[in-house]
Order: sequence, then structure tokens, then C-alpha cells
Amino acid sequence: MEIFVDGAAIAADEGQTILQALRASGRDAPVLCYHDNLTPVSVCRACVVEVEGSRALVPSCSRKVAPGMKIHTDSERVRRSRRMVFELLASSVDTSTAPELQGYMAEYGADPSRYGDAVARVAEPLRDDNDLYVRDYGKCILCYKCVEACGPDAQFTFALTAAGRGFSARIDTGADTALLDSRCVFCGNCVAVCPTGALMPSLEHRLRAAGRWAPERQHVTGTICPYCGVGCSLELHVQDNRIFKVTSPSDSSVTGGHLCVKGRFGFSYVEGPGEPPPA
Amino acid sequence: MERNPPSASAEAERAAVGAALARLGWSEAAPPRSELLPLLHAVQEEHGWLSRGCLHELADRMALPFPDVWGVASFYAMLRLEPPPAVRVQVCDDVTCRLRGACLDAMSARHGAPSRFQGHAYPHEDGSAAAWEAVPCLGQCEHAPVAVVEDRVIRDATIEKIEAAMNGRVPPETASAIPDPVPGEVRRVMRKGPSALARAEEMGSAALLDLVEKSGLLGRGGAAFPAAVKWRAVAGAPGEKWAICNADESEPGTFKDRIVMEEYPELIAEGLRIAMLAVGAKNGLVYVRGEYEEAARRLAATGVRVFRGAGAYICGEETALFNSVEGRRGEPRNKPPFPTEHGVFGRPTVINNVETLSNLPLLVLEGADAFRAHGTERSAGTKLFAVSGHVERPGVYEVPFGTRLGDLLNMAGGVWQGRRLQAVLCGGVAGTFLGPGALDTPLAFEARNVGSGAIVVLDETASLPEILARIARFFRDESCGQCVPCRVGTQRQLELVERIGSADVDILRDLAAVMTDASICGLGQTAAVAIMSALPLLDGARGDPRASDFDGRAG
Repeated sequence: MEIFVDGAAIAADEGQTILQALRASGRDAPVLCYHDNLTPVSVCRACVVEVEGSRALVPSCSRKVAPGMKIHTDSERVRRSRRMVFELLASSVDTSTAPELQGYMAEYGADPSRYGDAVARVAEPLRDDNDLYVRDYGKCILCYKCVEACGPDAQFTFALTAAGRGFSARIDTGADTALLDSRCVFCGNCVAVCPTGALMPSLEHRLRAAGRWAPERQHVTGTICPYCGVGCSLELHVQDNRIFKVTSPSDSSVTGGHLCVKGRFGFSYVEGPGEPPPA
Repeated sequence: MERNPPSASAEAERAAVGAALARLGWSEAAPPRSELLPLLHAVQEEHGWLSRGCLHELADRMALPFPDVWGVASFYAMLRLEPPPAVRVQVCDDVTCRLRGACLDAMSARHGAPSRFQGHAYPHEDGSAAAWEAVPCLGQCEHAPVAVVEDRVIRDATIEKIEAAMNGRVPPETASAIPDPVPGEVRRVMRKGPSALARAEEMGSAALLDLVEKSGLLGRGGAAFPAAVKWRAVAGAPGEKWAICNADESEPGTFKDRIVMEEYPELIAEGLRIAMLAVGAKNGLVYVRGEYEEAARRLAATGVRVFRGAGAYICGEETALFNSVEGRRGEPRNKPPFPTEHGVFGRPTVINNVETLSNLPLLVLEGADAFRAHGTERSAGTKLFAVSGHVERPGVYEVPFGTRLGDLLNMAGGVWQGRRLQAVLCGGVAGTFLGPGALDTPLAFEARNVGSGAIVVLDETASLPEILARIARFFRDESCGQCVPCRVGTQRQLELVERIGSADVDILRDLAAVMTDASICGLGQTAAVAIMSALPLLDGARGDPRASDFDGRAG
């Protein structure tokens, strides 16, 4: 079918979302809660576009294309809403480890200080209650990706939920249960999809906290997980010859980016004697 | 699926959950997820509150993950995750009760600061609950100010009455019967009449659909959507279908549905039955606001299936209501798909407001022409308005569409105590403030001033900034928290409105536009409408052209 984007006719397929059609034609939209391997929840509203005939803006990540649809991705309405989404988030949470969000803020000229100093922020203590990953909900933008990855979109563990409501809503293990006492199986798939560093491997967190975080001394090595016969693709994130994080490419046909606890966190045997990992 | 970790439920907690399950008929089998909210109510009734142990036990008995149960329980203001004080006191601090002199300062002076539900995910379990709660509108505005002590509604509440009730001395209740119609009222819905069911069954689906279409009946919940369009879409859909009556009336100043439920519950039962016949739905239920206990009792007595909410304004949004019924958090869904295609349990669903359905019996009995004989060309029939605030006789008045606002206020006795009118909040907190110059405005959907049917009158002494701040806080407190424009936007709006004299109107206006444009549902999309409409009425902003042309429509 044919749709129109900012005046240009482009080809789109039945069943495609607007975002998929935009990407197929070399265009894009900012996304925070969207992930290729998770069901769109359309809550961050960063990807909104204007569709002629629609009263409100529509989320491009979930709205399906229709023949002849006229879409505007760069109108003042669209830019205003996107800019304010980034401003609202940055005025309420710590974005220091959220590079995509920082990039969007620069691109859209977002100014979170316009609400003044006396604004409520998401105030949460660092939750550092196990050896594998930390939770810093003061950085959480409630994109729901961790809940989805923990639940029916990947892991089927159901250790996470949104709790409370409104500005007080938080991601929660249920009654703020410590991770070791919760349903968590430490697959780390929530960590892998988190867009803001609210969920972070403990080794990365400790490097940053110790002031030793040095992207210029980091590299990524691809390999295959040696544990079982599935053969998951791994990416070893290394700084100063020590692994601090393991991921899997989200376009891997084997993993879709998801791993188990062994592939994600069981790498210390790789590293021979030497300097112990930062504590 | 992984198991919940072993929990430490005490014997009393297991017994409370067991009793709740038995009461709802689930002694043997594990209940489906859709029983979660009814069971949370029942466990709270058995145990007094929802302790961690109770919730763990309930999760295990329902074979649900504990976090899911926690996520739902922490969503609703009526579900208590901390032990309640010995006597539970709720004082309404919302718009109408403030206008009518709610004794908030006296309560604070004598009993300390109130607690307030703000979607707390991590309440304390140390028993240090405040002695009283400040709560949003209880829907009893004709008796404002009101309070609730334990389960007892205190009307025209004073500090003396509240304290007497706290000490176990319950004051006698005033009669609540509907007063006789005043001149100008046209009681068509609010009356006891013969049953229309036999006639509806005789007519059958096709004739009922034609009748509703011909009548021009528009939804009375606030959106004014043509009932026939919804009905035809569901009637033409395949498979099992649902019909739901939305009785989650929770908008401040709105109490018309409560009156219909309490006084004419059989109208609603019949209306729902007629809707089910017309669309071919086998299943029907009435979703009643949790705080409306008397209304729920009277509805249940008619034999209709009643599902109780638990303190969440957002569950009046149709897709949030579906999630609530399904035992999930009351978060609205992205639309499309629309309810007519993918409603409750994924089935095609027709959902109508209490008042909409209450119009059906008279429509079936009298026909479309008689129905259209009242009202305007585009707004057919009569409308129930809940008039409250600074009027002599607050109450529900039924008038034909097109009635002048000033005439309606006169029916309610006019501005009380001989004072002058400052403003009228027309259509609820998602409606608009009108100044004294608007009394000639006809009330009709085409005039965009009907909204939820709430009319709140402010006399010259009322503090408009205080009322605006309370409205802003209502939306902040009731946002589900799902989408950024509403979750953070309503918080920022509250902060800006609290310093409205000095706040930058441009930011407020920008925020209003984005909440309207980019929020998922009607709550965020209308959270700024009343506030923006009031800016021209404020001294500081009078004549400010930037504020006056905002009408809540995108664009």
C-alpha cells in the first residue's frame, strides 16, 4: 500500500506499524519504551506522530498503517510533544546513564529546567542487594520493558510489576522484596532491555562508582556461550582486560537478545588469575 | 512457571484468605484471575487490611505471581496495604466539600495531619497510620460537606458530628428521598414506571437497534458518543459478547448516577438487559464505584451482576475498567482496537454509562418520537445534572437538553445566602469554568458544556486558585502513571497551579497542549481543560489572550 510521510509517498505493508514503515523507508522516530523483541506498550509517547483525521497524536510504535494514511513526523505539534516528553522525564529522573535519552534531548532542544527547581523528582535509594545487578529507580522512566522481558515476552518468570500509581508508580518485585527473596532467577534480561541504566550489572555500577569507568579502554568481543547446546551468541564487554558485562545481540536469531543466568553472569571462570574485579 | 518463594503467612492470614475464598465459592478450585479484585475486597473484609502474608497466601491460592497481586492491590485507594487506625475516618476535601465548608483545618488542629492516598507503593507497616484521611469526592455532594466514619456516611459534616461518630455515637441520618420535581424539571428518566422488558423482547435485536439509532441517544458519561454506533458495531461482531454498565462515577461534583442507582436501580438492570438483547450479548455486568456501597447493594437486589471497583477514578475509562474486571491494574489500553472489537476478555463489548442505559426503558415504551420531543436537534431527550456548591438546594435535576444554565441554577435555588456568582464549573473537573456572563448558555452536547453532568457553583467568596489547585491535585492523584505526559505532566501541572499567580502561563499552556495531544486516555487528555478555562477568570490573567482560546481540543 501507499502512505504519505511528510508529503512523500512511501510503500508500506499491510500489518506494519507506522514505525516499521518509517524505518523501512530510511526514516525513524525517537523511542524509549519500544524494543524490537517486546510487545509495544506505547507509554513513553516519544514516538508520537500526527495522522491526519486523528484528534490526538498517535504512537507510531503500535499504530498500524492504513492505505493512503497521511502522517506528519516533524510538525510543530509533534516536536512540541516529543520535546516535552524528554523534558518531563529529565525533570523527574537522573538521566546520567541514559545516552539515547540524552541524544533525543539535544536533538529536540529539551530544557528540563523550565519547570524550576522546586519540582518533585523520583527519589529512591539505590537497591544493591545481590552480587549481579543493582536497581536505581531514581533513573527509571517506567518504560515497562523490564516487566515485559521478565514476563510473557521473554522469560516467563513474572518477578516484576508496576506498583502504586501516578507519579508514585514504581517498578517493584512485590512489597519491595529483596531480589534474592523474590521470584527473580537472575537471567538479567531486564538489565539488557533497560534504556536508562536504572538496572545495571554490579560490575559496571562499581566501576562507575569508583570513578574508573573508561569507555575509551573498552571493547566488545563476540563469542558463543559454552555452557549448553543452544549456542547463544554472546557479546563480552571488556575494560582493562576484565569482563564487566555480557549481552547478546537483539537481532540474534538464537537469543533475540535474551540469555540465562549462566550466559549473562557466569563468566568469572574465563578470567585467569590477576586483579580481582572491582568490589 | 516459576513458583512464588515460600511465604510466611500466619495462621490468621491463611484463615482470612480461606474464608474469603469460601465466601465467593472458591473453596476447591483455583479462582480465575478475574476474581482477584472481588477476592481482595473479601480478604480485606475478613482481615481488616491486606497484609503481606494475606497477599502471599492469596497469590498462592490463585496460582498467580505475587508481584502481580501486589501490583493490583497497590493500585486502588480502598485497598489498604497498612493496618488501619482503630476507627477509620475519611473527610472529603474535594471541590464541593471545600466550597461548603469542610472542616479540614479543625480536623488537622485536633487530630493531626491527614494521610492521603497518592499511589504509595511502599507504605509503612509500623502501625503509625494517621488518625484521619483526606479523600477525593465521595459522590455525596448534595449533602456536602461529607465524611465517612467506618462505613457510615456523615452528611453536612461538622467536627462535632465527626467526633461523635469517632466515639461511637452515630448521628441520625437525614432522609435521602428524592425531592418532588421543581418547576422547569422534566422527570422522564427519574421515575418509577412499568417494565419495558417484555416489549423489548418482542421487538428483538434489529428493531431495538433501529429504535436507538432513530432516537439519536448520545452517551451520558461525558463523551456524547452515539449509542447506536457502538451497539451496531457489537451486534455485527462475531462470537461471545459483553454488555457493561459503567457505574464508576467518580468525577468530583458528580453524583447523578449514584442517585439513579439508589433510587431507580431497576431502570439500570432493565437498560442493561435491553442492551444485551440488542447486541446479542450473553454476559453483562455493572461496574460500580467501590465507595458506592449502598448503590451496589440496591443494584444487586435487582439480580443484575455487580462488580465493585476499589477507589480509582481512572477505572471509569472504559479500557481501564476492562483491565480492572480482568484482575489487572486499571491502566487504560491504547486504542485502537476499540471496545466494540476487543473489549473485556478480548471480546466485543458495548459499554454505556448508567444514565444512558436508564433512558432505554422509556425509549422502548414510548418510541423515538416521544424521546426526541424533548431536548435539542442534536442532543435528544433529557439530562440529569448534579448541581452542587454554593446553591441553596444542591441536588440532581432532570431537564431537557437546551435548558439555560441560569434556569438550572434557579431550580437549585440560585446562589446561596444572597451572594453574587463568581463562576460555574460546568461539566465536572474535566469541564470548563464559565463566568457570570454565561448564564444564558443552553446546556447541550453541541455547546460542549455538559461533560459529566456536574455543575459546581462558586460564589464571590470562593477562592478560585484554591479550587484550581485541588482540581490539579485530583488529576495528579488519579493518574494511573502509565504514560509520561500524564504521569509527570499532572505532577508538574499541580506544581505550576500551586503558584499560579507567579507561574509562567506559557509553560502551563504548553503542558496543557501536550497532555491533551499525547496522553493515552481521556484522563490526561482532559486534565488541563478546566484549569486553562479558568485562567481568564483569575485577576492576574484576566484578559490574557494566550489563555482564553484553549478549548481542550488537540491542535
